[in-house]
This record gives sequence, structure tokens and C-alpha cells, in this order.
Amino acid sequence: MTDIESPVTGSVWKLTVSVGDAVAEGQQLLILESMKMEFPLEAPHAGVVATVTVAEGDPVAAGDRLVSLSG
Amino acid sequence: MDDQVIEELRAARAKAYDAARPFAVAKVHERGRLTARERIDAVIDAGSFVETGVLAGAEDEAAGGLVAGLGTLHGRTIAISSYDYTVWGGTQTGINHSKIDRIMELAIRHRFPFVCFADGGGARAQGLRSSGFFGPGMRNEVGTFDGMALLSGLVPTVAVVSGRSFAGNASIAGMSDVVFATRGSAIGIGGPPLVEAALGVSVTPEELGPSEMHERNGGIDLLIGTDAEGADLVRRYLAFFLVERTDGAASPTHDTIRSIVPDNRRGLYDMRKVVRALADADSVFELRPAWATAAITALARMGGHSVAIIANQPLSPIAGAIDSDAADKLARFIRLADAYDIPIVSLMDNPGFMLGPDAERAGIARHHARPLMAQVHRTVPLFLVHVRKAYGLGPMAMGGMFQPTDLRVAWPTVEAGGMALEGAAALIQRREEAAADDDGATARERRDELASEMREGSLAVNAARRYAYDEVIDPAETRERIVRMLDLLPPPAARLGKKHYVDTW
Repeated sequence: MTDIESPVTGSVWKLTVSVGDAVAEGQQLLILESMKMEFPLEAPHAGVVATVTVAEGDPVAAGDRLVSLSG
Repeated sequence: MDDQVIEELRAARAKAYDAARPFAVAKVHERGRLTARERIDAVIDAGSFVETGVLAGAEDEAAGGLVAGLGTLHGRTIAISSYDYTVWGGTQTGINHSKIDRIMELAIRHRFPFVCFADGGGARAQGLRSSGFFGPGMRNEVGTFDGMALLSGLVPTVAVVSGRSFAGNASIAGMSDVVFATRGSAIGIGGPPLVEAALGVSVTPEELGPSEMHERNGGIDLLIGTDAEGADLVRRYLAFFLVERTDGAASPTHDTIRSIVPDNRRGLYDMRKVVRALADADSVFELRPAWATAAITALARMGGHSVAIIANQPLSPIAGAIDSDAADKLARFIRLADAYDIPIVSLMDNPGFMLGPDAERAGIARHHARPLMAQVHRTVPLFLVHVRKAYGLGPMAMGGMFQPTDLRVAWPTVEAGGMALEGAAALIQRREEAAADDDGATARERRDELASEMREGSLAVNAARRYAYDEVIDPAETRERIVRMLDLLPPPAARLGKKHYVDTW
């Protein structure tokens, strides 16, 4: 299980996956917003989205777990 | 003169060379390192070494544990030294201090860059071994540590650490302008025995001050693989200061320069791509790349001229804002460039100084002042390229506001404001609509509209019409504009002394 953690302190702008989605390596999972900039996060490997612990608009701190990927 | 006396002299000297010390040399090579003499040979032009004090120290203490002398690098004289870890762990003694002080005084007097391979254990606890020396040693003009301070800002100083560097040896490294250290090496102001004695804590050198840790927290400039790589980097680094012009071929990525900054103004991009596109092919030499990643500091060539590039890095967790670490990194590099008369190229895409409680806790209210102080006091030319954002006071750190520049150009992607435009708009809106009962979403839309209006005023062509820049340019014109200015400006006035010392942090 791979945890995708937030690299920034900001908020969740767009979620582009849901629990159960199969994703390819490099596929965009969500976009964070911080410092008025968009921080896209991509899947580090192919897998299935196991958990999504945030919703669009949620504030996040650097290091917070956002999504976990199995596979 | 008796042939035998000459022969004895020759034989005594030979004992200090690597050929006479195969076991010591083998141990060094087993660890993947070079001997003190091999390191020096790897840095300087072949055959140029003029050694001082090969016979200094006791008979079984090759060259007193420190090899030192003068040599040339790219044809220009440098002072170079290496501690010898195979001699009492590279420790410092009165005699080898005197040797290193000797080349420091020559370096100060004649303005030679100074290089030291600084592994070693600090002062030798056993003290000077009695070996029947009678009579005084050489009287030096400087001591080792005040010597490093006097060299700072006068001539470039470089330290390379492979192996363990503690106490006095680590201090030489720490006082140098730049430090290159190998993976697996360790640097510490107090070595394990002293740490145990003082704190009662038992640590290995690699737990105490591993270079991987120093790389991440700004303590060293580059983490490298081997001694040999270190020697090569010393040659490349000093070339920026010793070789006035190189051939100046453009980078193979230059033609991609228009594609780097995305159309989406909230989109991230890697400013390193801009640096590489503008600089001459294979010329970029970045310092402290692994620390304070929101700022980029790199030496490079443009049109064959040495330049010092400072840039904001949008592709960082703080999107190119300047926090305390980035402020320190920029400040030291600006002072380094200024001390040695390397013109600065500033690539600005900056949303301001970092804000928030974490930033304040890290001292941004004080640290932000360092690059501003450095900018106001520099006399070296600065060429400003306003790539995209310039908000708040952060641009002052980039030389982008109020400071004299020799070139001031902007890309069409430019946007600027006295503070984040959304923030300003929000303040204006709060006053205008104090009595309104808009819900949050409508208020936010109205704020963004106001911000857009303010942004229009700063946009590229409007800014050019106000003559806010020498020119608003096509990114593909940037390199030529800067190279032409470098060609047109006269060389810096000859320095009699130094402008100032170079901050070590």
C-alpha cells in the first residue's frame, strides 16, 4: 500500500479519482492548491485507489495522507 | 659538496612520497579515495606542483601529515593543500599548521585561490612528537583560522571532504566559500571523543555529521561520489573565476525556451529548464541544489562570460516564494558573486516572501533582510529577467525593485503587484462592500474580478508602455540581450583589496 502525502500546506482543489479506480503510473490523482498555484499529484506506480481521505476544498498540511494506492 | 650529503637529502625526501609508502597508499585506495598527493595532482595542471616542506615533521610522519604548495590551474596559480589521513588520522600539529599558514600567506599576498582537502581529526591530542628538533620554526604572517577569514572574499576558497573531517580540519572546510563532500563522509565541529567527553553521548562519526545530512540542511554545497570527482569539480568551479572567457556555445535546449512557462498562470514549471536554456552548453554549476529548493543559485557561462544565476523555483513546495532558507541561500550567493565580480543574472518568478506561522517561527522577519542587504550593497552588475510573478517585497531579494540593474527585461507572462492581488482585492472589497450580505461564493467571485482588473494593469505590453522595463521580450530573445550586455559592459575595476568577506551561510 502506497500512501500519497501532500507536499504542500494548502487545500484540495480537484479530485480526479475515486475509491476503486484503477490508475496507471503517472496518472493524475488530484490537484492541490497552495500559494495560488496548482500542484498536481500523480500515481507513483500503477494500482487501485484504496482510500481517499480528503474532499475538494479540504485544507491540508504538508505530510497529510491524501490517497492510498494498492498494487 | 659531499655527494653523500646530497644523497641523504634525496633519500629523506623520497620517504615522504607515495612510492615509498605502498601499504598506506593501498589502504587509501581500498577506501575508494586518493592519497593526499594524488588529490593535488588531480586538481592542478600536470607537473605544476611546487611543494613546501616535504621534509617537515618527524621521519615517519610523511610531510608532517599535510601536503601543501602552489600549482597552476588553467594556467593560473593556486595554493593547494591536502591533509594526509594516513599520518596520525590527518590531525593538525604546530608544524603542519605552519605549513598551511605558509601557503595561506602566499595566497593572501599574491591573490591565489585556496584549495584544501580537509579530512582529518583536528588537533593531534598527542601534541608535537618529540623528535629532536632544535631551533625555531618558520614565523608565519597568519594563523590557520584567521588566515581563512582573511582569504574570504579576497580569493575563492574551496574545500573537499572525503572521509572524516572534524574539529580544526572541519573548521577549514566550514570557513571556505564552498564545500564539496563525498557520500559516506562526515563533517563535524566536534569529533566523537570530544562529544563523549562533553555530553556523555557515544556516537560514530557517521551518526554525528554525515554529509548526506549536511547536503539537505545547507551545510555543504555539493554531495559527490569520490575524491576524483571532487578534484574535477574544483577545476570546474575555479574556472569561473580564473578563465575569463570560454567559447560560448548555446545550449541545445535553448530553442525550447518559449515552451517552458505554461499558459496556465497557476501552472508549475521547472525554472532549471530556463537556466539551462539560457546558459552556454554544459556550463551550469549549481550550488546547494538539495537545500532551500525554492531558490536556485548557480554559476554558469553566457556567451563565454562567467555569470552567477539566481532564480526562484516555482516547482517547490512554496511555489517559488522566499522562506528563511531561500533568503539565506540567495544572500550568500549574491555576496559570493559580488566579492569576486561575477555579474548576476536574476530570473524572477516570485509570489513574495513566505508567510504563515511556520515561516515566522523560522525567522522570516529577520532572514528576509539578508538578500535585501546583499542586493543594496552589491556593486557587481545585475541583469533582471522578470519571468512571471513579482509580488510583495520578495522581488527586492531578486534585485527586481529599487536596486540599480544594468538590464531589466520582462517576458510576456509577467504579472506584478504590491501584494498578492487576491489579497489586495479582498481588502478593497471588504471596504466597498462592508454592508453587503453576499454569500461567500459571490464575494470570492467579485474579489477575483477585482484582482483580474489589477492584473491587467501590470500585463506585459501595458508595463512596456509605461517604460517599466528596458523591453518586454520574446523569451527566445533573452539570451542574446544578456550576452550583448555582458559584451558591452567594461570589465570590473581592478580590486586593490577585497570588497567584503563572503558569508559562510
